[in-house]
Formats: sequence, C-alpha cells, structure tokens
Amino acid sequence: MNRIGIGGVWLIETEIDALATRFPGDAVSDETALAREFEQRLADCPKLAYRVALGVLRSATEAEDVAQEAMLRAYRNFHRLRDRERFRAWLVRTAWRLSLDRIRARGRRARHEQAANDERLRANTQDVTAPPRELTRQVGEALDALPEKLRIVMILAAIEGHSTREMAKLLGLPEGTVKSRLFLARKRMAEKLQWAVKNTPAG
Amino acid sequence: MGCEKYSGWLTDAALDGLLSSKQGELFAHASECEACRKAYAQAKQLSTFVDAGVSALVSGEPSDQFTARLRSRIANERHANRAAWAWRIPFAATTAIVAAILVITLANWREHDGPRPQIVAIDLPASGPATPSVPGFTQKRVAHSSHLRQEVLGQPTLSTQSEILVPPGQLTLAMQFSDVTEKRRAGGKDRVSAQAEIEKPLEIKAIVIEPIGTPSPIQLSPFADPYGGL
Repeated sequence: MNRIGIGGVWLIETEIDALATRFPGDAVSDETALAREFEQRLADCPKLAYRVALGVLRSATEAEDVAQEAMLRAYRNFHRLRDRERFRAWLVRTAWRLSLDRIRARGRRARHEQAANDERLRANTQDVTAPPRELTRQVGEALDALPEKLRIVMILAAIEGHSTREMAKLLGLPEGTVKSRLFLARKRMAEKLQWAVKNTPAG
Repeated sequence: MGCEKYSGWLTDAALDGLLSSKQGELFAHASECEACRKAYAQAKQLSTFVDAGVSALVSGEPSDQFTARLRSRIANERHANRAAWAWRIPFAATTAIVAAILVITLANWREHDGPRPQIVAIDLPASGPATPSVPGFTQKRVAHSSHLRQEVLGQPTLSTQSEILVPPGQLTLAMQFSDVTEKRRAGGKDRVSAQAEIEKPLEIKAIVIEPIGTPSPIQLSPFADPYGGL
C-alpha cells in the first residue's frame, strides 16, 4: 500500500481516494493528483539523478546527497514539471549542476580519497565486464579530463543505455550535436586510454 | 595495400563515427588485409573498454533508505513552510492594521496642517432691524451677500443664520470654502488660499453723496430742520 504525503501528513492511498471523492475538483484532489504523480517519478527517477551525480563525483555517499537535493528541488517545482520527459531532463540537468558545484567546492584530492574508500564503488568494480580497479581509476581520470559538454553526453550514454535521441531530449540539444559530441568524447578517451588497453590482457 | 589511408579510419569506425560509405570501403580492405583487421579489432577493444569503464563508474543504485529519507525531508519542509506562514500571517495582519491606523491619522493631520482661518461673522436678529455700528454699511453688505448666496446656492439667507462678512466679488470663493470646511474636505492648501482671499482688506469706495431732495411731510420731525437752518 503506497503512502502519499499531503500537507506534511502521510496518508495511505485509500484515504486519499476518499478525500478526492468527497471533494471532487477542489484543491485537495489537485494536490492529491500532484502527489500521486510525484510518487511515480519517485519510483524511477532517483536512480537517474544518482547515476549522473556518481559519474561526476565518483562517491556513492555524495551522489546520494546530490540526488536527494535534486529530487527535493524537483518536488518544489513539480507543478511545472508534471510531464515525465520534462521532469527527467530537468532532473538530469539539476543533478549535473549540483554535482559540478560539489566538485568545485572540494579539492580533487579529497574526492579521490573518498572514492578510494567507498565500499559501494569497490563492489561495482568487481563486475566481470568491468575493467580492474586501477583501470577504472584511469577511466575516471580520462572522463574528468573531458570538457563538461562532452562529459555529460558520455555519462548519459553509459546510464541505462540512453540512445542519441533520448540524450538529445534530456539535454535539449539537436540529435546531430549529441552524436558528434559523443563520438568526440569517446575518441578523446580512447586516445588517453590506448596505452592502458595495450597492457591489459585481451578478454 | 594502402593501409596508411585506412589507419585513420580504424578508430573512427570502431567508435561508430565513420561515414557508412567509408566504412564499407574500410571493411572491404580489412577483409583482405590482416594487419588492418588486427588494428580494427584493437580499436574495437579500446572502444569497448572505454564504454565499459564509464558504465562501471556510473553503475550503482541509491541506498534503500533513499526514498524514506527523501519523503522525510519533503514532510519536514512542508511542515517548516507551514510554520513559517503561521508566524507570518499574524505579523502581516498586525502590520496591515498599524498601516491603516497610520494612514487615517496622517489623513486627519493633513486636513489640519494649515492655519485655521478666522471667519468674522455677524449675527442678525430673528426680527427687527440690525443695529450696526456704521449705519447703512453692514446692512448693505448683508443684503449684497444674501443676494449672492441666493444666486449661488439657490437658497435665501435665513434671518437667524450667521453670516460671513466678505468683500464684494469674493463671496463665492468664501462660500465654497465654507461649504468645504463644513464637509471636512478642505486641505491645508485650500484653506491657506481661501484665508488669503478673505484676509484681503475690504475695499471701501468713496460714498457719493447725492443732493438731498425735498422731504415728505411724514418724515419731517418737529426737532429737525429739514433745510439745514436755511
């Protein structure tokens, strides 16, 4: 049974339905609809914000904080973001900006130390398809070296296998621009990581 | 074999950035060239490595407490907003009341900010002739103002009403001022200008003495000499 927050009080869905039936068309039902839609976003969008933040911050704790903040801001502006695509695009951009702000707020060395100690990230690197931890660090450095315009495209492409069209929608850019930026980003990273791959056993 | 031509294309093809026409040409060449095939495989491996590396960086999910924590923050924020408004509403109401009182006070103060005019009035008795200090002068003025009042207001002067003595030609202004004052709509500026008009000295013209005609017998008095002793 889902719970929906109205006026700081969490109500179960049956109570909300009862309220909406008793007062059809009034502010309560409108607020109920908003709360219900936000619940739907809450089910699938935090992961997107979290992963965008993780791609920049490389720290699970900080990425979660950023995703929390982005979702909270989305909640405050939800009356303007009821459309799902618009909501996701807004969320990506907000999470991206918040993450960059965090990066600027702290030193690069501190970020790497935290990333090294992050248990969750270590668990992620043990995926069989993923490169070893040292290579992951090098990939991270190569990613950080990219300009912001190229980096966001690279991160989005890696999240949930977004297509060029989906990324264009999320970023509000023409599809051709996204495609060329993605190619440029991958090429620059490949050039930087070329020597590392040569030293890695094929498989 | 022309491998130099295709070496630059290999990475682009592996990163899916080569035009399809060039890609066909490259693959046709690679099918016959072992070195280019090997180079393409390496480029493809590099591309896969980059993609897998970035995917590894961004893989992961928020913790189980994420949603509960977010809901708690939303609830706290809503509660804080309500608390903020609960404090603001009485404050706003009090401010509005104080502002209203201030506006009313200022409006009244503005009405009385000019010097209060002193209007000299004379009372006429309800019946019987007036007994002015200067014979003929006041009666003439009163009659003049009464006439103008009737012209301006359409109502005659009552005998018991107080009358303002003003110079001829300024009565209309004085009456307008008097009306406004009674209705409490006059501002200080109006009063000052009206007062200035009223305070103008009376214009007293020389009296032309007409030759006295022969008095009627009724007017003759046994104690007066109608011919001046002639």
